[in-house]
Amino acid sequence: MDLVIALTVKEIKVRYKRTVLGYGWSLLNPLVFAVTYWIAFKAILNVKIEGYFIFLLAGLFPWQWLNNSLQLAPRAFINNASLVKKIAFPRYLIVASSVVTEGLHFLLCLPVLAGLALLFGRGTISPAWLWGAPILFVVQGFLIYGIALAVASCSVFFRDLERLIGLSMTVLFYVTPVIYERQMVPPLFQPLIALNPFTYLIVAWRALLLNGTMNWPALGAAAVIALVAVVIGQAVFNRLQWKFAEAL
Amino acid sequence: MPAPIIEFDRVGKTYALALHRGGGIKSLILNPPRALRDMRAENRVVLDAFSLQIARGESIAVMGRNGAGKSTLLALVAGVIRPTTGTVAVHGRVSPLLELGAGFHSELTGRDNVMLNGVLLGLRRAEVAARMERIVEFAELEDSIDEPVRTFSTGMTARLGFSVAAHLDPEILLIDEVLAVGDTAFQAKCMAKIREFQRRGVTIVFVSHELKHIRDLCDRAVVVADHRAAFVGEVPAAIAYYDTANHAAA
Repeated sequence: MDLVIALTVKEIKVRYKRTVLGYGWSLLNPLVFAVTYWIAFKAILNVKIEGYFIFLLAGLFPWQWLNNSLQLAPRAFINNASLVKKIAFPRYLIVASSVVTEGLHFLLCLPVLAGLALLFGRGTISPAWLWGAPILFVVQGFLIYGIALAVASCSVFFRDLERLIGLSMTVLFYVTPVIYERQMVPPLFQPLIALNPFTYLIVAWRALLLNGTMNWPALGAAAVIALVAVVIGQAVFNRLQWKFAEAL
Repeated sequence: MPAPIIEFDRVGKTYALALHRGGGIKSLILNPPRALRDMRAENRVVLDAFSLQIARGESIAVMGRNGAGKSTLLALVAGVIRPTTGTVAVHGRVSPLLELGAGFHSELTGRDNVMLNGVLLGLRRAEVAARMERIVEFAELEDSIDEPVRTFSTGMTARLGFSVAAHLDPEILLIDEVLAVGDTAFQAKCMAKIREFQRRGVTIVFVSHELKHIRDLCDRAVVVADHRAAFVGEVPAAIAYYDTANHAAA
């Protein structure tokens, strides 16, 4: 536990070296995107979703956690080469602390979302948040951790992964119901959305944040996917970790 | 000899050269069988059937030419890599003092790095905090400990690294050439500290090319050559062996 805290503190301190806004960036990013998408899809294309701005934010905040963590994952071990090569410690904690760091940022965004929801009169601040948010938080944390661990381990040997992840995340963003509702997708493309492991989380978050309800089927699917991700991630890591110090 | 604290049993270590070559996913996708075969085929043997026992409380020097496998040996003891064949058994808390400022993050302050290092090496945060002042004082860095390590000189980094490792109550201390960097006064201080460890029964594995330090500090020495422990014994005999072998090679 002390290790996770120490690594997380390090992560945050390194991240905000010589930045003025610090954590403000994790707020500003989704806000700027939300405004941009609002202009593009509401003001120009006139999409038929009520309270589109808050709708966007409710998807963009959890998406940002996913996206940031997975974009950082390829460099997790590479950037900590001096630690990995010299000290024997549970190295998967490097990835875990990175996921926790991004998760903390996400948590800090939630009050802002609540405030904006009140301001725009869309969505409800529901007591369901109190138990729903921790559940979804944990599920998403494990999902990201599993994928990030596999990615981080493999990218020690195949640096191409960093580019590949960057590209994949851009594509996945549009295949995930962040800027649209799942029901709006034509039947032809529904399987694509269903196969996307991130769909269920975003759908569940939005149901919770906007309507104060838990989408149990989506939560169940997300939990299963998270479990699979952790098992695979840990297996890949276990297989490769003894070669890290040699390859870095 | 009492039960060894470190035991190498017919250890073999080969590095796959492919890990260090380019190609990445491209070659793997374009020609997977060949890429995989290449990866398996090209190996560099560093250690082969290397056996060595190190007793609790002894100080042993590791000698050998560049690339002989000295650092690989320390990395195996530190537990950051695993042997390809054979076993390495280590029965005690290892404090690696490998290379300069290894494990330091250049953007973090000295103090943050001490905390991170201490925790990575197995202490609790409160334990590190309790030792912080002693660590800083020993390293003589009171004035700059809150600056980023990036701004430290080589000698300052080495001092801090030594100080951290020295304050962790290690049972096994790995020292890799670090003493060469500090100034004379600090070297003397380190030597005194190492002697104190020796009196307390800490096992020391000492890699150095500095024969004077080896003579001063070590009970035994192992010469690593031809992938194995070519000579193990008293320091003077080991130095003589090493000299002869080098002259023969030259």
